[in-house]
Amino acid sequence: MRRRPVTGLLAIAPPVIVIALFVGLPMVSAMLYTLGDTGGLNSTIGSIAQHQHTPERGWLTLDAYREVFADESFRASLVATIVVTLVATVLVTILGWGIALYGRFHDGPLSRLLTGVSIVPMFIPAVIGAYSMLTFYAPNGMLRTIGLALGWDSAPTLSYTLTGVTLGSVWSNLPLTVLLISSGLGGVPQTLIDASRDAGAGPVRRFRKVILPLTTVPTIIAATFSAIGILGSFTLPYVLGPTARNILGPLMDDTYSAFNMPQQAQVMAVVVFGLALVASIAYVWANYRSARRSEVLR
Amino acid sequence: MKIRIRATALTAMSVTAVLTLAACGSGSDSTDAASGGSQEIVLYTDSDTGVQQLWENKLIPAFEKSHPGITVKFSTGDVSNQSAQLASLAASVKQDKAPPMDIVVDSGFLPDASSADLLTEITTSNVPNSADITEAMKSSAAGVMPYRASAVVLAYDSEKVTTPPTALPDLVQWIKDNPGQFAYNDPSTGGSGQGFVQAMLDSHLDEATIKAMSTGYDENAQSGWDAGLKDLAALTPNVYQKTYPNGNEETLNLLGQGQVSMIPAWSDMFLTAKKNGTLPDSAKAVSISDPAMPGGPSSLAVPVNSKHQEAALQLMNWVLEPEQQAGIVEAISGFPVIPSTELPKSAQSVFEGMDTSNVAPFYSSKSAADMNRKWSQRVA
Repeated sequence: MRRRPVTGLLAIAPPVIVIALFVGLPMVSAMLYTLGDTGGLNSTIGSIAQHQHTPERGWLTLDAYREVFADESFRASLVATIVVTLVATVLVTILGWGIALYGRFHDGPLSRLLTGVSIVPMFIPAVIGAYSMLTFYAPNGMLRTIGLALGWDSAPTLSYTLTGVTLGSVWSNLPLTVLLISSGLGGVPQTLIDASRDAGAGPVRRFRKVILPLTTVPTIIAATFSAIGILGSFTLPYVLGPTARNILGPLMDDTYSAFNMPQQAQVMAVVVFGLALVASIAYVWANYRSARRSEVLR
Repeated sequence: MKIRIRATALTAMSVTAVLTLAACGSGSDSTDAASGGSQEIVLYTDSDTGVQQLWENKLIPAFEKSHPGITVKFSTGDVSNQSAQLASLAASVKQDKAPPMDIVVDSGFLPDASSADLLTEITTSNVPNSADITEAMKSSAAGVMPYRASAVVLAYDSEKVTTPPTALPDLVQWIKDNPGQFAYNDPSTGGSGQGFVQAMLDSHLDEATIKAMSTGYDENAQSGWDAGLKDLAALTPNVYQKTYPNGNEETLNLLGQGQVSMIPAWSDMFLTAKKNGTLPDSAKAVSISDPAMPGGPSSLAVPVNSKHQEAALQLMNWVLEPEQQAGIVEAISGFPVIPSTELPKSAQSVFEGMDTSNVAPFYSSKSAADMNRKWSQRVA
């Protein structure tokens, strides 16, 4: 069915205008500022900032980017951000799959309890969760206390470590992953699974040939959401992470306000933005694929 | 991380928006200016909730009761909005409109507002009680009137530490002798860690350089920090978990949980935590000397274009009375800015072990920003 284009345009105009005005415009202006533009919307911040780079000749300069990338602490934090994001995303996806599979094929009180518990982090504010983890992982915290009671007297202290941040990120991203993969698994027709069983396929083969192909798209969507969330996380690494070589969020915040160097902080933000773009390529591909499939089915 | 970019640019946009609002909204105010009778003054603060409660629940009701005819409208802002508030104040002065507020409490933009001549000058004729402010608390910025103070002190658990160090070199030695028992927060995230770092840097600087850094900005003199930063880096293996927690509260938590036995802390936060029971009774505090950990007064100011000068100045004068000064001691453990001998005995005894009369200044905000960055590059 074809709709009249004018009605459609009118319907999407308000969100487009709001996004262009409150997201698009500030973003463009912020990117111009990282390139040394201190006029117009950037004049206020430009008059406050310290160690700002403005072009000596021409209109724009890459000096702020050069300074940020030459800084050892930024490079260390960038590596830490990428590593934590990758590790936590892989872990949370595996865990999410495990819980979703169990819930899909073993309907009982235990599986319902497990799924329920894995959703709980969604209803706990990040600050509360981060502080409770900090207490739990502390040298005198529960993790080490239990370890000691079991005879392990050198259980690790995970507070103020990247391992702690990784575990925390897994915890906070688990609910959405479980929900997305569960709903994907719920969409796999039972008849297909039964048919492959009748055809003699074992559990591994059924998983690889039937279940996995039909849930690739929700899995990629879940992983992308987790990765972008972790890339941009602030509260968890701020509370639970180490002082240096932490996720970029706290370093960006320090650079922006405590060092009074907003230009360099925005350079870092542009870098994180770039990383998020890379992560969302898979998401766009997955959406495109699922859109095409539904067209084929129709 | 898109959110950061948005927030940044939004700040810039909100400045523009506030400027426009200030320009439109204030026209009507200027007419009812000196109309006597009842008038309303707007009190603005971007300080923490403790200070907000002090004003909203204690000082303002008491003032309104003793000054019928004056009502005080309490308004708060976020501390990250400082530059926007300063911009809107500056715009209102420039256009000769009424300012967005008649009294500014604590705000970090006051020194800048003072140097831009946006504040009413405070003298003993318009605020008679300002004559009582002690020499050490007096503000060098015109129009900025201190009304309470606080300083970074050394908080410790007296059950584990019987004789705490009172001089910085002794403290450093103690940290090295008791690995893992001392913590200070990342100086970027709170004044208590910043105060400790500054004292460590100051120990290699002469008086004149320290003064220059607290009153202005001299990038070349910062090479004098190298020795202190080296000392601090050498302490890293001996601090709690070889790391630096974020925020003033976090080190207080560590002390309260018994994970460390000594921390630098804000005097008012320390005393309030003790009163609320988040710190045990065995927690005590002393002032550190040689060099001292800094602190500073918190101040009030009236914008030069306020249409309610007289009422606002009355409020400032009233806050300096011994009764109110003692109330501030009681509510948030703020140091008084008048001689403590003028306060009741009960208010004086709160500060046992702390030097409330001499408070060394913090570095200027620009110097401190560079200090934080160098610390993060070389110590963390």
